[in-house]
Amino acid sequence: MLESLKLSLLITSKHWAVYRKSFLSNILPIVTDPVFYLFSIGMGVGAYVTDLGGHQYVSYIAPGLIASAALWTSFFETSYNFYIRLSYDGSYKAMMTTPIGPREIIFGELLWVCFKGAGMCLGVCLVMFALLRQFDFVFLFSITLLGSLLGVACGALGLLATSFVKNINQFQTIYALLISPLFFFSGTFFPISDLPPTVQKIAFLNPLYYGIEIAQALYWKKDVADILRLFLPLLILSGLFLGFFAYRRIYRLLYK
Amino acid sequence: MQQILRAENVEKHFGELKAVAGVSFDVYAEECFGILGPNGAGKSTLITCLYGASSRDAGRLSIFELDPQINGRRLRARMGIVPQDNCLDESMNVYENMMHFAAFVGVKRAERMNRVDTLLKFMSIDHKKEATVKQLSGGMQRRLVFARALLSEPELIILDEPTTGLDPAVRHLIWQKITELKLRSGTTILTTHYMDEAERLCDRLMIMDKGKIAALGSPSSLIREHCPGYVASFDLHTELADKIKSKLASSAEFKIIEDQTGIHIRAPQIESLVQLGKDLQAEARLIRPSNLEDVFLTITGKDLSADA
Ligand SMILES: Nc1ncnc2c1ncn2[C@@H]1O[C@H](COP(=O)(O)OP(=O)(O)O)[C@@H](O)[C@H]1O
Ligand SMILES: [Mg+2]
Repeated sequence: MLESLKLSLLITSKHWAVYRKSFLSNILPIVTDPVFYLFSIGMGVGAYVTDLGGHQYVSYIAPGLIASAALWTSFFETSYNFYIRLSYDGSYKAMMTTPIGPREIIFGELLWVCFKGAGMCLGVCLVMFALLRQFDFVFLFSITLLGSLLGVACGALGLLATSFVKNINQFQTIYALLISPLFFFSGTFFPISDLPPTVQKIAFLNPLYYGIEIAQALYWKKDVADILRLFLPLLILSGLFLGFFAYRRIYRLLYK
Repeated sequence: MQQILRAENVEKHFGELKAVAGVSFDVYAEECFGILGPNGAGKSTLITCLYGASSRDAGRLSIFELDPQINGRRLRARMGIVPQDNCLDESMNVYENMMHFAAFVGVKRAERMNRVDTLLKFMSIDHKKEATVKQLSGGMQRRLVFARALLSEPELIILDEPTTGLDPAVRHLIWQKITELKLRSGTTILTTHYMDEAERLCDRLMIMDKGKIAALGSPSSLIREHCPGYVASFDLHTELADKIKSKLASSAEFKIIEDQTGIHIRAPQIESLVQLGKDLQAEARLIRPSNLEDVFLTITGKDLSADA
């Protein structure tokens, strides 16, 4: 078990070594997207919506945008990038000639998105703080931890989606029909409670929604304990649940 | 000789297709065991079962007394594997490819640089340390994969088509390295569809066709058993072909084989082939000892270069 964990960490560190090589172009979209949302929708809609639950619109959407960075980075990693390593560049084939097996590959992937989710939330949070001229160490620290949990849950979802994909073009469909709705029905731009009840129920299955509820509570310092008590277990459970199914399906792709 | 691998009725299916359809063989310590067969014979599929990168559907396998399906991780730590596709990381240079692999196979941090340098030197690519994989020629890449497979100081080396598609100079270099490793008392399993490679390197050979074993033995015993003697090749003229056929129709001594390249006649004695040429008033293009290609043709009725 310890040996397995060590190998998974080595895989993660190799992913990092590859990622680092084109660091700027890799992180750029993840960081610039929330900034554009903040300035376009935040400022534009903010001109009409001056008070949402007691917040200026820009500061209403800021925590959600930061937490969403974990979704984008981890889902992209376990969908496109994972698929390329699996089917095109032979990375995993090569690893399977060493003591590394399918278990280590999957755990290595989940560890990687755990770190990536944390790192991206941290980075986007710092950029947001700079733009909004504020600083809150407790939030910075807790959003980083939240990013790691979101990274695993959304990364596992990505792996699960990848296990159904027949060719790389199908990811377009998954982005359109799965990831966009997850993002738009996550409570980032408006409270989910304002939606019709049926839509609310569906949104309640969205792991990103759990994370964003937590992020907002932490950012606004409002009902933190209550929100954590409800949504932290949900987020962790959804990560475990998705991880479990992703593991089983991806295992069979790696070990035919 | 100590037996280190035993395969019994191993099968691997892909849907309806039995890519490996029940093969049984043993491999002994310090030998070079070859698997010869055309494209699609099931060599690579069998190989991935051996190192536990894919499951099998039937049969038993034990290597160093371990089942790769159960103890793949422990087994691979004792093997060096050159897969058919290089599977090198194109975003990294030669040195980085080696260092990451060294970590994967468990080389201690303090030893890594040293081991990597030694192996790059052994494969004569130490001057390419900083080159990215894309900058390497096909032969260089293959040598890097070779060096990579040796990082674990393997007791068993598995080579899946080590020289396919490489130019003669690189093939010879790789053959030389395989021979050097053999002298260091390692055990080697290699697959190939080149009969000269099999003949040159392998102590024992298993000829595979359509997932099954067509023949098994040392190269010389296979030749002795299935097609002893010499082969004379004539250019194909219908006139000559007819003449040969009518003359040799009832002969037990001569065997006629026709293919796209000409008409070939095999006989146990070289003298009788020379005499035949004189009788026919036709000069053979080539008279040579029969080889593994002839064995394959005799057993399966087709060329090694054809698909299975
Ligand atoms: N992953 C796979 N899925 C389906 N069929 C496969 C797969 N891998 C190999 N095959 C088929 O199995 C047969 C044996 O292939 P392979 O082991 O690669 O042969 P060889 O290495 O001798 O050329 C071929 O017909 C090939 O198409
Ligand atoms: Mg093959």
